[in-house]
Amino acid sequence: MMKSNNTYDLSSPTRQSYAAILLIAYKLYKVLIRQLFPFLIIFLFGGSTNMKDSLMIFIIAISIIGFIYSIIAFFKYYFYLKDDKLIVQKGVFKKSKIEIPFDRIQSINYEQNIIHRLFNVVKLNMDTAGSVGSELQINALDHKLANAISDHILKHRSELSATMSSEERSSKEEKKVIFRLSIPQLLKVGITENHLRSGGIIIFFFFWLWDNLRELGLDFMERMDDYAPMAKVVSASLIVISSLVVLFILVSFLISLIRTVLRYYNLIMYRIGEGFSIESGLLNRREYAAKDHKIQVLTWSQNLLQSWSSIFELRLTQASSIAVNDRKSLSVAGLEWEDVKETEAYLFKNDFHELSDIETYPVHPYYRFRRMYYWTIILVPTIIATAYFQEMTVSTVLFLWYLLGMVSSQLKFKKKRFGITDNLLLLQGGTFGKSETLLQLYKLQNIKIHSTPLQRRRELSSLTLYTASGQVSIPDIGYTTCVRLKNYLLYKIESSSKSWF
Amino acid sequence: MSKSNIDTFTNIQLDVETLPKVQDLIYQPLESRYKTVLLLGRLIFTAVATFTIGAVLLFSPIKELVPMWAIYLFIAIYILYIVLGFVATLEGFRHKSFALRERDIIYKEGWIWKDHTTTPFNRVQHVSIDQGPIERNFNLSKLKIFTAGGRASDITIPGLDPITADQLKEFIVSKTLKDKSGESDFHPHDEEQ
Repeated sequence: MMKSNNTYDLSSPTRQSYAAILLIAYKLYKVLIRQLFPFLIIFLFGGSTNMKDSLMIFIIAISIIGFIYSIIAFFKYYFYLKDDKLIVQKGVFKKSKIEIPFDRIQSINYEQNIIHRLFNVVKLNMDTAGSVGSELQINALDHKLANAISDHILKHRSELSATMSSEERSSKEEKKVIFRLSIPQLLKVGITENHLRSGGIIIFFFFWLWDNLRELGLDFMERMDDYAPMAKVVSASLIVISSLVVLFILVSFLISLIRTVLRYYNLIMYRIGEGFSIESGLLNRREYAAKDHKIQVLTWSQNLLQSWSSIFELRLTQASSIAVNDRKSLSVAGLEWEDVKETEAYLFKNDFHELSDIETYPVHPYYRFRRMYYWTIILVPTIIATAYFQEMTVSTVLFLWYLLGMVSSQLKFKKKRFGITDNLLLLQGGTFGKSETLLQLYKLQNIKIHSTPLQRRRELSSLTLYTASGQVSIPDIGYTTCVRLKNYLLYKIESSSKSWF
Repeated sequence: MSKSNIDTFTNIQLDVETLPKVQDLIYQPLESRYKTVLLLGRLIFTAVATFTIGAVLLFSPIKELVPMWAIYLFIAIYILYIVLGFVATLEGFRHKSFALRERDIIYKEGWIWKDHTTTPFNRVQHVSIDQGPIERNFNLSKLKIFTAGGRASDITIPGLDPITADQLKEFIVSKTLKDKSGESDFHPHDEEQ
């Protein structure tokens, strides 16, 4: 550790590794492509040659300007450590200087995408506590320099949950594999993904594309008449529709499979010291770490397919003073029941045994009726109206949707249960699948009781519990139970001398 | 875990019985001049909305497009909305109140949808006092209590006398510091003003 500190003078302004130029440019191009996507489509598929030429020049010009910008941005970017602070100076048009005291840095994570791996550099992500600027990123750093920096910060802030390079970590703390995702399991995870979500992405993508193209004066519906006057007649036929549906399902399935492989390829979950670490990804190899005391909520879930093949998804969410996002949580997929239990045992330590004989309670049946009631007031008038106007297909679809809503209300009610022990809170839920949320009572921050007029008529209210990484709700329980629970939880919070993070 | 923890535990168990239960707490209402501030805000909103809607009705061709009865219906609903708005403002004020306890602060609000939030002092990250321009004219302050629970759970108590707000802030900050001494390395954000 000392050696690395000597080789690098961390207190003098340092630039990033030269690979940063590529990374800045890559990031810039990604944004540009996303913004200019419709133009590119036109460029590829249509428009007059005249337009094509000017677009070509435009695109080339933008690419060159973007690259020059990246180079300038690189040379204007400095960082150094001074007086227990990390200082970053940057800015092409507007200069800015960011100072972050080491105390505010909550965690340091390394990330490597394919460009990083090519140049053997890492991206440093620092999460900071505090209201301004949630996190700081240094795009590309030499692996050793990154280690030197995180070591230096670590030395001045022992609480820090830093992810060090894997070689160093193994020498310092014992590393135990909790779970490793094999290739067959990876495929299982991909197959049991929520394909509806992928399908939703496709639909959204096409709507977005269509909308953008129409704005640019390309209307497929109009063009269809020019190119294929028979299209409308053909599209009405059952074979075309059903083959489109099959294609849609196939593509959704494929997309979720690809997403899963990219994200979870060779996923390994470790237990290191008093924390967890996860490595995964095919092209973008990500490494995340979380210390036990930082983890606020543990959630496992199964969708219907996953529960059939009895695999679990696990999420450990970490404290952050800013809004919760994915970066703050560790997600693992494809776990077996034993792996989930092992993680729980590690995380909850002495409190874990309380789960073996935990008693759970249902919420009030009003929870079900409330949902059914909402479905009814929204959908039934629409169904009647569409039926009145002879739109039988629409009303049939809506009616099926309504039935689904009713069934899901019933299932949600059946699965919603809660339980509380001396130190833990358990909340079960799910519609077609299943989920379970667990948290330690002393990690709660705030408690809110909420009631609507309809709830008050039945002497019910809802309890919302806030943690540093999101909230959980126990809906529709009796008012007296709610108050008793609240008092118990408050007592637990207020009498605890343990630090919640 | 350790023996000292067990001692604290039993100590506090006695404490719980002396802690007042939430139901029989006496809640502190907000300063009555805050009602004026709320009504004034409502009045300004209503004036702007009425002005806009009036302008649309008078100067746009909407009269030719929509039958007269629909316009009358709309006006009737709008008037009802204004009346209800004022009632909601008054009732809303009546239902805003807070209570201070030894170890936490409670704020409740809501006439139709009731909310009742409790923030333990040993989870408070920082406390701040705010004053808008209208509030300054009425000599009122707003107390904001932040925890790590996020914006949805942070308590904001409006309509306080600045002196009360200051006292509350002092009290809560002293409590947070006391509750945290020794056990944790946590430093609530320093108030740098």
